[in-house]
Amino acid sequence: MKSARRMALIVMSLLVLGEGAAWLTAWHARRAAEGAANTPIVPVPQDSLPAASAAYIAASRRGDWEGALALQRRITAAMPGNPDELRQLALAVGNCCNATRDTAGGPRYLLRNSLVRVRWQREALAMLDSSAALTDDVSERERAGFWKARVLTSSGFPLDGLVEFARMLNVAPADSTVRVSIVSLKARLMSTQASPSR
Amino acid sequence: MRTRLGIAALLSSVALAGCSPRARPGAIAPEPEHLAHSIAALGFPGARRAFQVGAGSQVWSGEVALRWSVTGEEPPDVSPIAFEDDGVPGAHWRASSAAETLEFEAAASPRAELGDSSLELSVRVTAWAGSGAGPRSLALRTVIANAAIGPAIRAWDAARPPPGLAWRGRDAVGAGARLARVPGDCERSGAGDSLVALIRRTLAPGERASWTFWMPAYPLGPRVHASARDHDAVLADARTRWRERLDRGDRIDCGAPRFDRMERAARVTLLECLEREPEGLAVIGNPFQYRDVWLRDGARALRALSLCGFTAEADEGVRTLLGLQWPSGAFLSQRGQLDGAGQALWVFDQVASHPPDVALARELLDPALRGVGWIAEQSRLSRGLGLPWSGLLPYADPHDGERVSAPLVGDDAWAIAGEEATADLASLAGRDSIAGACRAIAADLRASFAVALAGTKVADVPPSWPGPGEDWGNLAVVFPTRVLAPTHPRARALLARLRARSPGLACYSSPDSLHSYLGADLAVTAMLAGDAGAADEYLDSLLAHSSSTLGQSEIFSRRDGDFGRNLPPHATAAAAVVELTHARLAFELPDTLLLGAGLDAAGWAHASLTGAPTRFGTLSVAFARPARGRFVVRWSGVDAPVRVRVPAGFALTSLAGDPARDEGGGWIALAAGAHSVTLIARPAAEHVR
Repeated sequence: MKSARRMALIVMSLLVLGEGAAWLTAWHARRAAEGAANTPIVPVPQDSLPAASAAYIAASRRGDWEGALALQRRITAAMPGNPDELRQLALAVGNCCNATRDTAGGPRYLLRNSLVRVRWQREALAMLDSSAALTDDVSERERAGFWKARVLTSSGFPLDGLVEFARMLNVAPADSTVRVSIVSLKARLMSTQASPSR
Repeated sequence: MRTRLGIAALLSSVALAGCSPRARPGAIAPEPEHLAHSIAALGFPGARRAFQVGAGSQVWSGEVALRWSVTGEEPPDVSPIAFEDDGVPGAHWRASSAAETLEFEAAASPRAELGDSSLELSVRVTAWAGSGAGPRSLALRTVIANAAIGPAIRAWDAARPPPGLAWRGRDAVGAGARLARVPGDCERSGAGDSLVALIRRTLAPGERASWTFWMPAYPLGPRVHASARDHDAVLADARTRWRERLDRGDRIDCGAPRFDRMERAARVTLLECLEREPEGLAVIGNPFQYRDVWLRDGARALRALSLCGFTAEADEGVRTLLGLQWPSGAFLSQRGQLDGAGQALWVFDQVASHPPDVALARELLDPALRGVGWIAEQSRLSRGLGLPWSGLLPYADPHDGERVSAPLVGDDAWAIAGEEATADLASLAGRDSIAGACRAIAADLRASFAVALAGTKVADVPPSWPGPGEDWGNLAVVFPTRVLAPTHPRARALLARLRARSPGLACYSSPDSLHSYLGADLAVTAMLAGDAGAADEYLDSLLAHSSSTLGQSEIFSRRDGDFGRNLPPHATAAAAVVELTHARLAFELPDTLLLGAGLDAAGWAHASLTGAPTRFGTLSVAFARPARGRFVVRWSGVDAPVRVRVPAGFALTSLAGDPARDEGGGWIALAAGAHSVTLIARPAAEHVR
């Protein structure tokens, strides 16, 4: 009876150990799969900000959207509350949402799926709102609104984009870029012709 | 307490693992291969990758391929892949030459040590010599490579560029991670892009020898301590898990055995196309090249899962779609696909009402109302700006099948369906005043739609309001959006135009490109318009173009079945199979249940549906044909008026059972509360005489 109980105890202990080991290996597998997503953001040192900004621009120009975003995250972390950098970060996030890379099977989005892309687009729009809220400077607010309109339009919401452009026109009535954007978007909305898909 | 329960559960699962009746071997069910390459998916709900089996004797994880051949022989004749007769995706195929036969058995299963998004694959290769004189020397060559041969897609998250391959004992490794394991009795060679494992063996006539190969869906890093499981254990685990999963659904006997296995295979595809995301299970388009979420596909797949009774999976999947809501309230998954705005709302109601779930309806109602608010605001802006199609959604470029940038008819049809579905959702949630407001908004949009439709230059329903584009969302105007009645002249004209181009499956763009699900909505439309054989015609056409594991490619060549890089199986095609097989037996109108709408006289002999969720309750229905001219149908679990279709080719002579009336046009009407009716009918020609 005693030995049976001891045997049961050993079996139970082994099972508990096994369950623990399985949990640990699964945890390691998950951590490995999560990869760099949880890597902490190290702010760019203040004396390196000009160089980092130049590197961000260079990365964006050559279409290295992931590299540009990583840099802009570090720049923004070094300048918290800066509306200009927050707007740049929103744009870097938005660029990653729409960017594709060529593979043997044709172009593929950089981000895993639409759930991730929409989450990131929401974050980009929220950052543009924050960028506008952080400043009293009319031109800064206008720039944030302009890019918000552009994000909405390019995502497939032309009427939402038009509303946003119109709001910017109230903020900066003389801005010719906003005016041209409105004219162009209205012309497309009023068209009775179909266009080829791009 | 929780720990003790956990250990008890663990003990019981260990005790049961070896003797579960669900682990019993399955019979191999060969089917003809109608596509250019025999390819099948071995996946499991939650996993972020599936193993591709084929083309040829090859398996591919999206990152690592294993392929087998016999050295010094003519290329063998490789059979199509077969799954098991109850739909379990255990893959079986053969490679035969004059001298030897290789038999392959492959199964994939989840495993806790690999995490909740990976799988392990085990392949058993069994060889035997032909009946010629004397023993034969066999050299089985296995190539482990970082690229597959033939149609195959590299996984989105595979290492780029692929790491160099090397041997570490029996394991093939790349960048320090384990990729595959081969049997111990191999001569191992190679490095870089491919490795070779050679097994030499002399086989006496009739002697069989087996070897097992193992591969995880994701490479195993150095800290993951999972060793290869025994092949039989992996196979038994896969069978147990799949049978347990499939048993959760309703039971269907299509009354046509050829459709039963296709329907079962469709369920497997739909379940394999559920991927674990931080938000929950997400519906993807395909296990290989379409591992992404599209509302236009996801809505169909979730409705199909709901129809089949996979309620938990559908509930989780629909909650995941909430992640696609934009700050404006709009639902949009892919750039420019504004039909998603209505499809999300539509599927919220579909899932919440199959079966009716008041708590889920309440949970989904607020996001749905924000979605309705966005559509209503689009209508207001459209009118205020004086857009050409006043009150309707603006232009869109969906970068998909429509192949046009324009205001799209399908976007508006789905928007109406979404608003009306939200009204139903509000009713289910007990919010009748909100339901009324949603109906008023939908009526407004319907009116704008009617004006726009009257102004088109064609007799049917064009893809876009200006006219151009490929037929796509416009094909959904009757079913499922219910914007037009099935008998509407434009709906009939649309049906006639599509059928004139291609009876059965619709062709897409060119006559040689067949599309597996594009025409499925029209098959339902035709069935509702009185063509009882339309669903069978579509399903037969689909069957004649299915893979040997009864999966469907999205688009393929009519001439030779070539699907390019659009590999089968596609989730929306699977959803169409479920939709049509169920619709033949039981179909829900807003206030009435149709029974036998697509069932022929032969099907009446034994068709049945058990435990099927409907918005009227959980339906069980059984058809019978006790004598040549007697058709009996009994149902339970629902409280709704019922209409029963007289089988095509028969004319009703009298009725028995619960009070029923002949409505004409081949339909019998019964009030709510009825549970059976007997139709006494004669062949129509005899009746006419």
